[in-house]
Amino acid sequence: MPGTDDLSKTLETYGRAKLRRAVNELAQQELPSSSLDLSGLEADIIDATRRLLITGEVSSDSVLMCIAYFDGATQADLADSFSIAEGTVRKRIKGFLEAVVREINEPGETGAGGDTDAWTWRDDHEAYERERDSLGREYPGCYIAMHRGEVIGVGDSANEAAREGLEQLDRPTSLFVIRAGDPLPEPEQLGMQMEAPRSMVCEQ
Amino acid sequence: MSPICYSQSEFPPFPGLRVELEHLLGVTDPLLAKIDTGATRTVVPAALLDQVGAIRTGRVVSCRSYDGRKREWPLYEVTLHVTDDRWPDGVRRLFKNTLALGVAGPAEVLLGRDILAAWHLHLDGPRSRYRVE
Repeated sequence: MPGTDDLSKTLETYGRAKLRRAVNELAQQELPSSSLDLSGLEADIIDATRRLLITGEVSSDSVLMCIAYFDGATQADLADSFSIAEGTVRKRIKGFLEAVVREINEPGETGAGGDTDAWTWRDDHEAYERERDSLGREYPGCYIAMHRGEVIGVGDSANEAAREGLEQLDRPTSLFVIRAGDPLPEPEQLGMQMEAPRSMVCEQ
Repeated sequence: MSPICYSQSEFPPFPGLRVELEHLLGVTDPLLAKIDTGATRTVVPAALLDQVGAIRTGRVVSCRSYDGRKREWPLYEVTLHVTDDRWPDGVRRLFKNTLALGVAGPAEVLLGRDILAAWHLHLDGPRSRYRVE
């Protein structure tokens, strides 16, 4: 069972940023004109996580997986919930979080989210933004290739930086490459519908 | 200019073609890509982009699903090469350093309007074939 220090560290260094981002993303959804307190929502989620950790029902690793899962799958769940009363939403979030953690901890069950690698492209972006100014000073005018928050390739072009990074890593992947110090571009809004039904598996 | 038959792997059949993806680490096996006029940008499974060492650019696109949810996807730089034997001479085959959405999990290669803009396509639905020039 993790101690409270361990818990605090987990939440402060890893979880809070992800939870906050997820909540902020929710805030960008086209919500009904309810007066949902999103900051309270975040606090509720963190409290639920904390309670589970303190009672020893879950490990820090499970919480990390749960948070990673929260990044993706719960968005749908939460988005659906916004047409329901606020109290119900909060209950559902707590219940959902607890269910995810239980699912993760049950031997032989598939981990929720199915992904054991908690690091995503968003983490790369966050890591870069945190260090952007210092990276700009350290590698002025150069392109840098990053992997899990570390610079592993530098070059005069994106390809050069990526090649160096791939050699370092020695396994196939797509590296995040950017000119050091440049801000990340704002998301491009596409009129494109994704996750649409593209092909029919069976028709009845 | 010979017509190209639709792929019969689904019903109704769809206009498709063989392509390969290529970047810093090599090239994929030939892939069946769907011509998709509904896709603003070309879509590729992220696993294939990893395989060829595509570059994740830091650019992100925000898409919306039919139930209204928004989701963001990263854009990758990758080279796309039409390797279909049926492709006519003189029609553009190579798209160097094109930007594609990388999507996690099992997905199809969808050729979006960014690629399709290079071609004149004539779809012949009743005969399940198309011409390109």
